[in-house]
Amino acid sequence: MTLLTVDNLEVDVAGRPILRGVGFTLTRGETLGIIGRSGSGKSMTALALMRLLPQDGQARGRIVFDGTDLLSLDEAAMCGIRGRRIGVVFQEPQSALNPLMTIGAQVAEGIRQHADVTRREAASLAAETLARAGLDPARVSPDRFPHELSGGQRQRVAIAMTVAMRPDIIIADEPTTALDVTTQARILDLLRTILRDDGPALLLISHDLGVVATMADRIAVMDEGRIVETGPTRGFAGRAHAPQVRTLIAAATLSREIAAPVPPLPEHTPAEHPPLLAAEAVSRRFGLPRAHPLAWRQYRRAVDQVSLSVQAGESVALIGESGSGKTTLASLMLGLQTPDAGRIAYRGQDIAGAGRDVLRRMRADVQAVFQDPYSSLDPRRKAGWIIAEPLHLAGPIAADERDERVAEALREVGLSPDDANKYPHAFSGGQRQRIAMARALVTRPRLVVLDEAVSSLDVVAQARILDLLARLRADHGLAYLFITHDLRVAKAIARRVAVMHDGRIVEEGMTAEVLTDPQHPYTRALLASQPDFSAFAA
Amino acid sequence: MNRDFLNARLLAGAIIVGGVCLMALISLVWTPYDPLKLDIANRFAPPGPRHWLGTDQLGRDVLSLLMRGAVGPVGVSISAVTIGLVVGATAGMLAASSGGVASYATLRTSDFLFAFPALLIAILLRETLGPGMLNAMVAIGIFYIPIFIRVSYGASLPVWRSGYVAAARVAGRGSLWIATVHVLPNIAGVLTVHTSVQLSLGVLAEASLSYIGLGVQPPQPSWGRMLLEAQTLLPISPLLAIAPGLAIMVTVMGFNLLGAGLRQALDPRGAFIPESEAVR
Amino acid sequence: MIRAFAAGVASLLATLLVASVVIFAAMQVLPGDPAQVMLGVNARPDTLAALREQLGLDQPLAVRYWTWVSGLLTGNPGVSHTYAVPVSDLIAARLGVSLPLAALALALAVAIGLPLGMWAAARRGRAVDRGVLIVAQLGIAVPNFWLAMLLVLLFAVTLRWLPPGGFPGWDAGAGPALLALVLPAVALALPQSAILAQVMRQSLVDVLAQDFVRTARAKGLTRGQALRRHALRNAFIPILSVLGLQFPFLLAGTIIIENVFFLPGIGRLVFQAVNQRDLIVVQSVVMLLVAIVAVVNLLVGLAYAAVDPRVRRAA
Repeated sequence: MTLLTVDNLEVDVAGRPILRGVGFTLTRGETLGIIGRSGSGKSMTALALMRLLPQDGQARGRIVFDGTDLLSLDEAAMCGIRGRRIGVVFQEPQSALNPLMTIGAQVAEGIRQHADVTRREAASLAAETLARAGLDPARVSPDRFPHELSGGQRQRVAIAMTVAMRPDIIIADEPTTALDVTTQARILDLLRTILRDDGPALLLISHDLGVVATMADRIAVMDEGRIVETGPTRGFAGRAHAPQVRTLIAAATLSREIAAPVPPLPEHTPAEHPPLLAAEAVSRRFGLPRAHPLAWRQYRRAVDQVSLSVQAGESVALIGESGSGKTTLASLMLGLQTPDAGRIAYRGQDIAGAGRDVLRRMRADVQAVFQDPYSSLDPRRKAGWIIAEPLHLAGPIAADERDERVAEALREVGLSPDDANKYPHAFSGGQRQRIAMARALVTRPRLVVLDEAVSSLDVVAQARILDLLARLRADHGLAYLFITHDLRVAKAIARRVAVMHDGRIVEEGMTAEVLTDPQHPYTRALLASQPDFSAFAA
Repeated sequence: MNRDFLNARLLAGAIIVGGVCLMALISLVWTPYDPLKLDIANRFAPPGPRHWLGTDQLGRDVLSLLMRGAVGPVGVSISAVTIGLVVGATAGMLAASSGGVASYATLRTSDFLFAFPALLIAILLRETLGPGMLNAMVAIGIFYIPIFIRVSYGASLPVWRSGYVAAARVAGRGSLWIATVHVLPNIAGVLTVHTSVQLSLGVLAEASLSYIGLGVQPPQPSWGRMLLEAQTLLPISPLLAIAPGLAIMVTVMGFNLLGAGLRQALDPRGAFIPESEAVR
Repeated sequence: MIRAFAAGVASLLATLLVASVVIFAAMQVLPGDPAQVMLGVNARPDTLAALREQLGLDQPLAVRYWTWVSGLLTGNPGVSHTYAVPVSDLIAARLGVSLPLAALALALAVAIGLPLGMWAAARRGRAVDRGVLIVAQLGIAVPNFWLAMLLVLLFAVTLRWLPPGGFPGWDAGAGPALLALVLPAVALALPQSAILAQVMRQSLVDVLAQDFVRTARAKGLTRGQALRRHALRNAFIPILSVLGLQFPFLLAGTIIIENVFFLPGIGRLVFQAVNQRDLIVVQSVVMLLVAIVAVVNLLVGLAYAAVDPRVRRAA
């Protein structure tokens, strides 16, 4: 039975067309996954269904829910639908909750809005719902405030807020995007349980094909404000024909995009001693805020007695979730922070006591690309200037030679030498990471440390950058230390992996071995959280 | 709110501020009459073709007084903001870079200074520096230091922690290079906007100090002093009180408009200056 | 909460200690001998020396500092040279004018500024919003002492509704005394309320654009309910800090406004004392004002903790 029919939905925001002729249906109890790159109009579709568009937004077309066109309803009637009949779980668990209100009160508020219950009844119903969402009242009391919760717990609160009113449709807009993979898997489990127990229809919006492929009965692909492909999940990959969809699928599964498979190391490399760069039993701790001015300072060990080395020409992936200490370790190995204990050795020499010459050589040899493409380029400098910044390491350089090196680096990363005269804002996220890569390459280094260098990019841009990295390694014999939370990416790029958890390396070995036969429980949990594409690809 | 309206603010602010500064400069070499020359026989003359704004209780030409009276507020405000900007912005930027004890000490000193309103500093310094423009400059300048420390600390902290500063370190650049080449240009916009807004506050502060006798000293005219002298003559000649007051108000608004317009021009999305911060 | 309070009090005490040293030191570098000023230029050297001894000026610096500070702590910092009465009595009498004036002005500024700001934010982008913004711009630019003169011109000189200045004292009854404070309080409050209106509007507009307000609407709350239950409380947080930042300005404004209206408050006292080299009065009054500012900062910090659970935990 059809619960919701969207027909020829058009949305303009500030006069700019955002959605064009969007149409789909949703039957009772069904899960429809809407997938698309950022800016494709997915989230705007959710807001249009709830009639919560921005002030300057305008919707036309028909949204027929249970026999009524929502676009024809007045505001008061719409308030009766929102939450009660159609509920939303928004993307950012960080900002979607009111920081000044307890989580119990936020869940109870919606209940009292729609049902004639006393404050006390609403509170006990809220506590019940929070428990159902996996927040055990003994551990996470309803009297807690949002900032006292982890990201995953906050997302459980957001889900509880929505399911408390048992709506007919739940819209989940990127419900797991901001979360670690293991947390993501648990949140998806919770959604499945709720679907089974309450039987609502679910409109699951995500940019992550893995999430949609494991959850949805049917899939709709959005691109530039239109739906370009719809169909049942089972066998979707085989039937899809729109070119955007094919690219998306290939990129998400990293199937054919990686042109250069991991080449075996030349015979002599394992014998190289000492390694190019090594962390030897390094530790680093951070002081926590004091409880009061006279309290002893408490410390948290971000990195605890970790050893890790990278040989010339080798690519190593360091896998871990946020808070595992992997970024601190990268920062130590780059010499941006000093370890509290242990040492960082560049070609066997401790960089802490090294002279200027050694440090200059190391800087020229070991370069880095950081996570956020939007903050890693100085917005006030042109691309050419940015790329040339490390060139002073090789000593004074003439202007025309500098320009030539910049142009060469730009060509190397697949950009045009003319791009040197543009400011960073003129580039997309993927292009910015290419510029960051060009800056890292300009000194002709031996090793590039990539700290979550592709995590903030969408899958297509991600696959292209990985492709580029594989080619550069093949061309120049570059070594990589690739820091990531994404097993898929690690598998595509690295010969050896190290898994980091709570500041320690819990497992280390050849990629193929670790990922097929994990020893540590944490590695197993990581692997179990990987999306299952089998039905989708069947 | 459309863009043109906001750009109009920038233009209006620039015209007012430019006009007042020009007037102050011209008054140093030329005014319609000598603003210090008394002409008792011709006192309380109404506005007319000879004296556009009339004369005061001592027969001085009000327009000339008004022109020369701009020197105090504008000059004091600019020098005081310069003191605050140079000392405060540098301290704030360095505090943000170091973290730890130096940062803590700078911020606590700044909090401490903030407990002294400019007026108290002026009272404390009066006998040392003597009442006058220098006293007003230093007092208001000291008052500005903690303000600019906070502004520059807040603006430069995210820059010091940004990916491009980390990249510059990986590129082998030292702190001095990073401070001047990366941090300063990226907080220049914030500092410009705050400078403009603080200049408006400086004009008000100078007028207050001159009004209570801690700023520009007689016989030199100043808007604040003119108001003090006009106060007792209020029932007889309200214009003497209205003209300098309006001059102060227009100048203050000019700097505020300039600040608002600059913020719109330099930071259209309000990314680095929350409006509530910039009000003061 | 108790920890936040303890930490706040500790930093308050440290501030006051440093402030007392700074103020005392600033007083010592003043040129001019108080005894000379009191007795005039023709005083005989032995009379001068006797007076110095009587005033304690012949004591070493450290001893004089200690006498002053311990006096402050016991509520009696010394005797005024010129008025020949205990400084504490002098200050107490003057505070009876200044404190009610500041409190009245603060209440007025809040009562005018906050509703205006909320009104503008609720109708953002419309005519009301623009009107409030323009009036606020004007209000911020007006010097309060000039506004005071204009108010006197209108309500005292022309309309004769209110007294132009002076203070009848509280002994004459609360009515006339309050009446004398109306114009000064309005003159102080209007520029402050313009700032508060601007901050309130912007803060509310910022909060209304946040995700949790959208979440509230998605639960089925009406626009008004979301504003009242979720946005307002969050929007008050920046207001608290602005009130704290504005307080020193309000205090300085009070001192100036007292001069316009010839009110016998703290401001008049400090000017007379500076002119007469009544050091003990000057340093005690300045110390008092700094202490008031520091205490207000502490209260603002505690109010923060009371409103915002994030601060409560961190502190």
